Amino acid sequence: MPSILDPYCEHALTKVLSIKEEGDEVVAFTMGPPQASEALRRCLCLGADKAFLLSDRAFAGADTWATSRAVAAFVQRYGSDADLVVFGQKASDGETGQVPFEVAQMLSVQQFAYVKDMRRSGGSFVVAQDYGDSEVECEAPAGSVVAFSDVDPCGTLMSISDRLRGAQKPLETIDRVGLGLGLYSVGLKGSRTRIVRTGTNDVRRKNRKAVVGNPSRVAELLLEEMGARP
Amino acid sequence: MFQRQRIGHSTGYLTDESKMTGHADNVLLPYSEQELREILRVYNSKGTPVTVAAMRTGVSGGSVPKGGDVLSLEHMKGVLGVGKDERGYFLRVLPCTTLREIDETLARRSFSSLEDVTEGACESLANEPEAYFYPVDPTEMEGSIGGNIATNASGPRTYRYGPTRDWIRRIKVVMADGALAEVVRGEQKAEGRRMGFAAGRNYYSFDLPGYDFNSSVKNAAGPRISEDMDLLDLFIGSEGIFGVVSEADIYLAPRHPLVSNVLFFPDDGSALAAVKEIRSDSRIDPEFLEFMDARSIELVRSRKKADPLSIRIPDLPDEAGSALFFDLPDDGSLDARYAALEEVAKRHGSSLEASWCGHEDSDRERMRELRHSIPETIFEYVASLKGEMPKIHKLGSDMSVPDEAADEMMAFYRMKLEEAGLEYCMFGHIGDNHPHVEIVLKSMDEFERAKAIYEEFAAKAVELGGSPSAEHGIGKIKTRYMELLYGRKGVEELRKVKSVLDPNWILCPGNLVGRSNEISDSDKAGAGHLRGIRGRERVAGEGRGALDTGPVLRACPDEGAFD
Repeated sequence: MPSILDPYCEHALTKVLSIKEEGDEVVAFTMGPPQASEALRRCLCLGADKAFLLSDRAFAGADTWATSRAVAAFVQRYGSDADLVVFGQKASDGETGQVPFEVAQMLSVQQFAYVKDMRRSGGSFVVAQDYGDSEVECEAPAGSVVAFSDVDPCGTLMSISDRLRGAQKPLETIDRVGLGLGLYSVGLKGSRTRIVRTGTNDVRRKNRKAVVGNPSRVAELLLEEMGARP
Repeated sequence: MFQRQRIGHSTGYLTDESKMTGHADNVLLPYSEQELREILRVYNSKGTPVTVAAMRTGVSGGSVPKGGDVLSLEHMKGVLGVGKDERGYFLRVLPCTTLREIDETLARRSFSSLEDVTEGACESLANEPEAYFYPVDPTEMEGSIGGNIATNASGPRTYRYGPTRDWIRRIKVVMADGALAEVVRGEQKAEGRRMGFAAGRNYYSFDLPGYDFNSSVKNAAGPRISEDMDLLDLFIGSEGIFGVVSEADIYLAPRHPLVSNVLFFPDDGSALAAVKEIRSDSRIDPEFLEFMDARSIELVRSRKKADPLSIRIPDLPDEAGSALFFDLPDDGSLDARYAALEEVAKRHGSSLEASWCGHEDSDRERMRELRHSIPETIFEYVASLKGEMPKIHKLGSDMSVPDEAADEMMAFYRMKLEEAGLEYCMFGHIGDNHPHVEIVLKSMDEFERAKAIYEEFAAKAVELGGSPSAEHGIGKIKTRYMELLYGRKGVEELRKVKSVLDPNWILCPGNLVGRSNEISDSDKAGAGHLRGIRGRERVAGEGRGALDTGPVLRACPDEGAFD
């Protein structure tokens, strides 16, 4: 399965970049194995200023709780002065939709779910939330967690210049020790759930095809298939 | 024994992507080479014509029947095995295997269920550090390999990899009388213009036409005839008139990662000027080079405006007035290629800021959608006119010319279309000097004028040393171009070859060359519709006899072998 920047996160990033002003700094981060750096590189190409990969063998097997703990530790250490902590509401593979709100709880900050848009208003940010049957606009206090719940089906395409610039931007890896977390706070040991198995569904039909020329043989095969003959 | 079904009205067997409509009585459905041979043996003895069809994705009417029966190879599909020779790996496939199936088989990288054509080839290919692929990309992934061989299909990647012909190692061909020939590249060649080969008990010996096939440009106008030619080249591009391919070995190439790019320019002139520099700059060396003119860009914008999700791309930049589309290898040389590209872009009013690039598969797929959206939009537009104007069909040019004649041909296109006051867009394989000119038709009057102009385009392309059929084949729509290219004498010589290999003229009547007493379809007005002329093409021995008794039956011909 290819490692990609999740469409929810990409949409969230493009929304943030669309209101970025001179002097702002957009920092991208994710927790994952080394190949997740490709997704972060894409963030840098799309316009993020720097990126951090939270990666450590000890993070393996993390559920949403252990993931949130690592992310919250990162925000506390490296982004405590952030105006907003922005997420894609869920990952398109896991679909749990828990991490942003667990992080908000761990950081004790305001959380905004189902966000479909964001704008500046004076020195602050206003988020538009879509609850399906109602829409709400709220001012997001400094440090709030904002989770975008949409994807853009037409997506983003970077320019060649973006790509070349993105390749030069800093991407740093931080391990468990760098986050100041103990072995029993992260990964499988720090998880409250156990993932027994992950996989993809094979939805292909398993029809069999028999090509025979003799009609009596066809009849025999059909009878065998229906269990009419031993 | 073989399966035959009566064809009802409004069946897909009577048409293909050219949207021509033909007529036939039955469809024959062989499941194996043996059944295919039986069919041809029976039909040849009766002199009943058959039109070979597979996925019917051709756009020149090659699989549209002109009477007789349709011989559909749809059940002869699948990848059989893997082999390796001094050139490299190859796949052994049945004729109706689609390019998508080939692609998917190779992408799985598990070949344990396939036959080792040469010892250990399956395991060896699976263990290669890099994936392999079949490089010919005629855009239509649902097209069959047999159809690709019959038309010598090509596409954007022909720029780097050449057409289908360059990737065929061996074919098995069932001749008109059911005899079987195995043709391997390099094993049977003509002596000068004299060709001879055996098929079963038959031995065919004949003079080749005196013309030389134009290989200097992208060209799909019949087989590659030349002195000392390889027998394989007689069947590739012959559109089924000499024999029916029942099995093929296709070579594979290592797949290297690519990055797709779109570079926007302020106008058509800037983009076309940049084409020449990109093509001649070895530092850039793209995989292919495709063009979208200002009208194509506008077409995409209109479509996006009407339905934003119809093409999964962001809005085109406001300053985009034309565009070039190309892939580059995604390796250590990419930055140097981009640096060279930037120099070219700046000289022609563009920059790397005015571009898109896609490294991830999903981005590359969306950019591919953009490229394909133009012909799709035109196609849908013309289809929407069919109710009002049933005889109308899409008119797209398929001419290629040598590098030195590219400017003259482009100027000619513009002059003629603007003189006629026709709306058009231009896009496609500019790297091979083979853009498609599509006319946005609004009335039957415009349709008739456009057809006349296309004749002039074809004549001009030939005058400039090019081909009037660069990649779509001749089929039944463009048979008049054969004479334009090869002269009456050349066509007559090709007919003689056909008469030797298929004396009863049962195979694919109307493709490439008709019998000399026939009026070719493309010479008729309204070439898009073949009804009303049945009977003219029937050859001797129309009798159906005992075979013609019901909607579905399996016929058992005499057991005697002819070869």
